[in-house]
Formats: sequence, C-alpha cells, structure tokens
Amino acid sequence: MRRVALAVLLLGAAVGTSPAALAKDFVYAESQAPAHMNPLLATYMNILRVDELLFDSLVRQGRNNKATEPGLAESWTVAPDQTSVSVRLRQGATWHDGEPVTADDVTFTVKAILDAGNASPDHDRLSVVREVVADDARSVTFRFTRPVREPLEKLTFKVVPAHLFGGKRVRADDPFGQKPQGTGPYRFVSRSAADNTIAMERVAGHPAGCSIERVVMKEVPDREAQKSTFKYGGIDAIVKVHHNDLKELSAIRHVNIVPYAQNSWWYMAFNLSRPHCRDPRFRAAVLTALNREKTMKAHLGRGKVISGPYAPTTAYYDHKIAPVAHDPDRASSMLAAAGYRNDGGTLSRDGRPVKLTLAVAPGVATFQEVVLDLQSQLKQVGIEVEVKSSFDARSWKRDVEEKRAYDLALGSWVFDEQASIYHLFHSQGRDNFVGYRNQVVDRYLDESLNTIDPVVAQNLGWKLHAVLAEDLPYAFLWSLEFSTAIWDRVQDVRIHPYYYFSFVCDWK
Amino acid sequence: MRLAAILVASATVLAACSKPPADAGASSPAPGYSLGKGWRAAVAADPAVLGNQGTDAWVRLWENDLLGAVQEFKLAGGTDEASAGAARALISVASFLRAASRVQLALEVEAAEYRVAAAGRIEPGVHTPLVLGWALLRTGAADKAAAVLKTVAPEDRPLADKLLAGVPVGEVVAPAWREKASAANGKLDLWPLVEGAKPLFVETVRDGGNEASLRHRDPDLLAVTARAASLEAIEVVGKALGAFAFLECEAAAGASHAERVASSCSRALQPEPVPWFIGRFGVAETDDDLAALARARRDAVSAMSTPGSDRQRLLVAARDAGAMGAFVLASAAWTLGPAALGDVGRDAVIGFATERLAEVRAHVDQTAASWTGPGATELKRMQAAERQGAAVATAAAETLMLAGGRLHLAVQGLESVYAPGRASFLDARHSPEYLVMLAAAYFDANRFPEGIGILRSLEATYPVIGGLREVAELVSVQRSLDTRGAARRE
Repeated sequence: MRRVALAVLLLGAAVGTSPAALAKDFVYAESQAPAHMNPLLATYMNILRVDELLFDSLVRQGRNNKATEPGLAESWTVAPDQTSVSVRLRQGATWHDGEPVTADDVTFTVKAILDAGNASPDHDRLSVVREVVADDARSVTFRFTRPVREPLEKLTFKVVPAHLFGGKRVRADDPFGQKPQGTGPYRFVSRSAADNTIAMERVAGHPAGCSIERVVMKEVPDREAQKSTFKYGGIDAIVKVHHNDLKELSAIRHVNIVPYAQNSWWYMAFNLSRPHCRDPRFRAAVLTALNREKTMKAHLGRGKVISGPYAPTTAYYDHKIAPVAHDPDRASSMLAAAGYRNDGGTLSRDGRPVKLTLAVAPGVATFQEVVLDLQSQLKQVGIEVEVKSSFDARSWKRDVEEKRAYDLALGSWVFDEQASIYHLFHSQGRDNFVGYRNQVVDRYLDESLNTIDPVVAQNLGWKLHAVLAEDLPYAFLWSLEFSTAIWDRVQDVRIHPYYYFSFVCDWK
Repeated sequence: MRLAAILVASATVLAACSKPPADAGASSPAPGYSLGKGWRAAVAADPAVLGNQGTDAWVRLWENDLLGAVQEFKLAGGTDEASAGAARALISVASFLRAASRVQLALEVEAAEYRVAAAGRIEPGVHTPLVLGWALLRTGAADKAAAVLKTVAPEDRPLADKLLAGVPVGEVVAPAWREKASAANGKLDLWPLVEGAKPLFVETVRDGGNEASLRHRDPDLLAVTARAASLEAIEVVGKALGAFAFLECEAAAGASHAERVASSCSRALQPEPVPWFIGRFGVAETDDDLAALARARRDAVSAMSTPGSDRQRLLVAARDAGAMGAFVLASAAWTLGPAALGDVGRDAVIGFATERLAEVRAHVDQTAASWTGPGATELKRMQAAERQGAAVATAAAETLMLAGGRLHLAVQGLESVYAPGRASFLDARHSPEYLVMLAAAYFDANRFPEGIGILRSLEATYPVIGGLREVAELVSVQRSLDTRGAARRE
C-alpha cells in the first residue's frame, strides 16, 4: 500500500500536479537558517525576511512599496515643516507574550538602533532623529535634525519589546534573538535544531488578518536539494531561484514563478592588508583573469557583469564604464610587470609561491560550481587558491570581518532602494572589512550622505563607481535576476523586492 | 504616479517616433507633413520633448527629408511653387534645429532658406531677435549679434544685455534655480520645482536652445528640471498623438478586415486603437460587430467629451453592457484619458480586464493540463496557448494601466502569465510602447529597478527612450535621498 502511495506521489510530481495539500501551512526554504531573529541586528537577508513575519513596524509598506499603511501606529501627524512626526500606537496592541505595547518600547527601540555600539543596519536610516519622546503611554514624537521629505519612511523599523531586554544593551547572542516576541502577524512557535526549521503561527486578531495559518522556514542548504524538495512538495516556495533553474521549475504545472528585481551584486573582495592583494596591479590582474560572463551564464543565468559597486538598474551605475574584459594572457603580462614569475604554472614573487585563501560567504556557499570555476580561472594564471566555504554568519563575522583571516572573499551584498555603499568603502564604514582607505572616496561618500540634490547624488555615484572601478578593493562580479518559485495553491502572491513578506497577509 | 502617467503617454510618442509613417504625404516636399501632422505640431510646440538623443535621431530624419525637398526643388527647375514649398520646409527645419540647440546647423539651413526664398526676412515668432542674436554670438559673429540684439523687445532687454556681456545662457538662469533650491530648505521635491521652474525653462528654450539640458551631467538643478519639464511636454504630445492616431484609425475602421489590416492606420500608426483592441480582446467576431463597436466608441467619446451630456448615464449603460461596453469605455479612454471614465467607467474596465486575465490563466492551465508528454503537437498547442494567453494578457494589462490606478494589478497579472521560462517581459513580440507602459507601471509601484531596466533595454533601439530613462533615474534617486539605506548580506 505504501509503495502504491509513493508511486502515485511520484507520478503526480512527474506530470506536474500539485503535491498533497499542506492545509494552511506555508513552508519556504532558505539556504541557511537565520543565526538569530533580532530585527535590530538583521544584517542578513534571511533575518530580514523572517522578521517581516514576526514584527511590526510603526508604518507598513503600502501596495506601492512605500510606507503608507498603518502598522503598529494607527495614526500619525507630520508637522507642517516636516521636522517632526507624532504617532499614536494601535489601541490594544500587545506583544506576542501578552504584554501591552507602550510608547517606551518605541523609544527603547530607537535608542538601541541609534546606539553606535549595536551596529544596527537601521542606524543610518534613523540618524536624522534628534530626539524621540514618549508623550504618553500610546503616543510618541520623533523630532528630526532637519526637515525630512518622507518622514513615514523613517518609521519602518521593527519595534522590539523593551521589557524583554531589561534595559541592557542589545547583543546578537541575546536569548531574545532565539525566541523573539514581536507584534507581527505571525508569532514565533519553535526552532528545531534537528531539522533546521523555524515555525510560526498566525496571531488571532492581528489587524493584518493573514489567511495562511502557519509559516515554516526550512533550511535546505543545497540548491539541488531545494529544487527536489520543492518539486515533491516538501516546501511551498523557494525564495531565490536563479535564472538557470527557471526552465525546470516553470515547466511544472501549478508552479508560479514570480520575478522580482533585487538590488544586489556579487563580489570577490581583496584583503588590502595582505601582501599580494594590497598591490593594485595584482588586483587588476586577478580581475582580468576572471571570465565573469562565462561563469555567470554557466552557473547562475541571466544577469549583468558589472564594473562597479552598484546594480546596473540603479541610477548610480555608470554605464560608460565597461567591465574589464577577460584576457588571461594580458593578466599574465600584468602579473609579470608587477614582478611575478610563472614557473610551470605556479606563480611566485620574491621566490615565494602565491597561495591565497578564498573565503566563501554563507549566502553564496551553495554555489560550489561558481567557486570551483573561479578557482580554476585563477589557477590558469598560476594563482593557487584554497577555498574555505564552511562559514556560518557568526564565524564569517569573526574570522573574515573581524580577524580578517582571508586573502579573497566571495559574497553578495543586497541593498534597499538607497543602494548606499557608505559602510562598504568609507574608511570609517562598519562593513569595510577589506580595509579600504581613500580620502577622495570618503569625501564623495560623506557628500552623498548629505546632498538633497538628485543630480549631485547621481554624479557622486558615478564618481564613486569610477574611482572604485580603478582602485578595485573588490573585483565586482555580476548582478543577477531573481524569481521566487511557489506552488499555485498559494494565490495572490506579491513579493516586496527587499523585505519579501511585506504583503504576506494578502496571500491566499 | 505622475512619472508613470507621463511614461504611459510617452509610449505613444515612442511608437510614432520609432515608426514614422512612410506613406502618408510622401509626395509633399514639406518634411513636417511627410512625418505626420501630429509630430510636426508636437515638435514645433516644444522640441525639448525629444531630449538630446532623440534630437540626434530626429535631426537625421529631418535632414533626409530636407535633402529630398532640395532635390525636388532642383528637379522642378526652381519654379515659384517649388521654391515656396522648399522654403517652407527649410523654415520648419531651421526653427526646429534652433529650438533643439543645433544652432550651427540652423544657421546653415537658414542660409539655404535665404538663398531659396531670396529674401532676408525674419519670421515673427520664429526668428526672434533674441534667438538670432544669441545664435550669432555662438558662431562668433559678435558685431552682427550686437546689431540684432539691440532690436529685442523690452522684456527681453535684461537677458540680451547679459548675453552681450558674455554671460552664458545657462549661467543667466542658473542662479535663479539655485535660489529656488536653497529656498526649498531641504524639502526639495522635484515636481513642485518643475512647476515653479517651468517658465524659466520655457524661456531658456525660447531663447535659442535648451542649453540647460545639454549640461545635464552638471550638478545643477537646472538640468534636472529642464529635463523633467521636457517630459511634461511629452505628456502633452503623447495625448495629442493618441488622439491623432485614433482619428486616423477610425477612418479606416469602416473598411473590410483585409483593407483594415492593410490600411495606413495599422501599418504606420501605433497603437491602432479600434482594430488593435478588438483583435487582442477578441470581442468582435464579424465586420458588423466591428462597425457597431466603432460607432459605439465614437458615440461614447462624443458624449463623454461634450459638456452637459448625460455622461453618468452613458457610463452606467456601458458598464451594464458587459464586455462590449467595457471595451467601448476602454477604447474611449485612449482618446479622452482615464479620468473621463469616472469611477463607474473605471470599475467596468478594470472588471473586464481582470476577468480576461483570469480567463487567460485558466486557458493556459487548461491547455497545459492536456499536455500529456513530450511531443511536437502537444508542444505546439502549449506554445500556441501561451502566445494567445500572452497577447490577451498584454491587452488586459494595458487596459488596466489605461484605466488608471490599477497599475500594480496590471503588473501582477502580467507577471503571472509572463513567467520567465514561459515568455519574457522583454520578448520581441511586445511592442515598445507596451514595454514603456509596463515600465510606467513599475514606476508607479515604486519598483524603479525593473522600470529602469526595461527602459534601458529599449534605449539601444529607440534613442528617444534615453531621456525618459534619465528622468526616471533621477526621480528614483530623488525619492530615496532622504532615507539613508542599509546594505545586508545574502
């Protein structure tokens, strides 16, 4: 009987029928489970996505992807001169543990974000907040250092419960991050280390009124395994499907493919404190040795090879700067001119062979074929590369970003619509893990933070593009097109290109 | 929303610009006529509509026609009639070139004009002393310029004096713009600025060329607003052209199907509203249906645009007539703009288009369900279903866009049909004007990367798109300037 059932299941999958219904559950796959779920410290996209389910912001994203809808705030008043905004919290709003939401929660959250020691990704967004005051238990006023054109956009941070932190500094390893209590449309139920899942259930009475009862995040590290699990109904959605996999998935009946443009790009970063990588001639040669077009098309699919630190669909990308062409012979000549010798396929300088470590970030480690391809291309010009790809978020932060124990680092950055590269390349930037220092770049980045003129901002972006394409603290690789694959038992799916689950309560 | 509306309108411009009708009025030596009355009027009204890249393409077209006109003049042996025709053509060309800041070329053409017409006259309203003086200054003829600039009207005197003093036109007006930006005190918003600055921009153009837009890469607000203002012009032009195309097509709608397909309307003018809508929606099976629909549409347009008519009654009747009525309303929206539909009409159109989208999905799924395995016949059926589905979905989405306020629904509907791997958004089957509208829909949904990506993909083939894309980029930057962002790791 069991064999028959299995055969029916396999046949169903082969001809593209829907897998067995999962009632009101929705299971989605991430290639790595979030290290924690604390929204104040959501430095990874997998955290951002799960937090969109668990937490509310004061103002939510509207259907035009702008902050327009009531969230934890039921109403607000923007001062005529746009230097302040007062919000009124939703009547009867409670945390998932039953405690009432108060204005103090909001002030605590803002202060935690603005505490530089917390290194919150939302710090820059809120840096224009001069003061946040609880007017009464349900009312909060934000005062800004200058008029703010779109003040509601400042209110899209996730609010956390002050009472669970007891006035202490927020830390990534705080127990709250493993057992979060939010006010979002879904509450945290459990996290299973055994099968790497996070289970969430719908909050009854939440004003968003979601249709789906339970959401489960399931870690499926391998891309092929993700596809197989999806095809046989083990998961309902793959968050990020690369173009090369689309043909296979979209051929399945009852699978919808939902494209979305994510503002992101891949890089191979150079540790500028290491002997070879600090030499700009070496960096230029490495870039010239890489066949980015071939690698991208062969393993990832549709996208664009980039010449600088922006996605080509942003206004800051300067299309006049062409990507460096792949030319291994020229790369060898450049290396020779920089004092390197190639003896029988092994590159050396001052009698010592060139051996580099390539650290692969957890978010891209699933693309082993990309890593091997790049490794092989560098080998062609004599550069030996030892690959380290077993990082998780914590070890990456410790070994790569803090100890800087690497020569090359392969990874991907994802940006919101501001596409700010400030912290990546400013000498004081918190994400400048390559140790890049350039006064001109610092000045451009400082200016770009303060300008209110779109033409100036765009020009600064182009200038930054030009300088960074010349200096090459990173070898800028490519920007890709993405889609989500989702079984059509879930209808009305609309995806926010950055926060992803912003419209989950419309899904049916 | 505004940018989206402008882009929707400009889709029509794009179609006309990229496909000038080859046959209409080809025998005339006047380039304006041979390129279409709508375009002549539109470009004459404001050449800045084209932007720099568009101007380059446009100048090439004019030059071709100009050569033709001169050739005809020569062939005709310099008769008075031919001379007058050629002179008219040259005046048009010169005036366009001047306004499009191709001053040197304009002067050369003017010289030809003078030769042809054998008269040194200055056309009022075309050759203003200010324009001519500035043009002469640009070409180094300072003495002649000074003489001409002395004759300017009193209101132009301050500007003429500055020009004579050697102050570049851009610098004459730029301080005023900076003052505006400073007064904005951090509350900079592109569109109010455009509104306030439009007279200055118009002044700059009238003054002999959009110097400002040539400086578009300078960190100068003048550049942004100048280009934005030119987009406003596009909106106006788009509407004018939409109406123009409609009239042309309507004339052809009474003909038989074969004649209709072969008509200049369907070949040369995009979009071709009546057959275009009907063909894509499949609401008219016979020529009688078609004729009835054309009449209904004409009546609807007439009633909806006539003050004092019982518009509401008409809208309700159209809504109650189901798909046919909704079609009539949708097609009327092409001429009158979505606002003319009112809430009742808009809901009817949206309901109709949404219904068609659902039908498309069901149809594609149904066909897919009958696909039992690999095989040429099944595959062809599947592909045919997808093609048909894509065509109807496109039409439905366009209607949703036109009906206004439902752009996100249009994008959602399209994305559900155009799944990558099945069909691509940027498939060659799709018309450029449709893709521009799709970009507009993305902009309306604040999905700028997708919209910009679509425009950029079109830009190589249709240079005029460059101006649209540039403005879209700046709007995207402007919208996000106040909200500092974050980078996160995947």
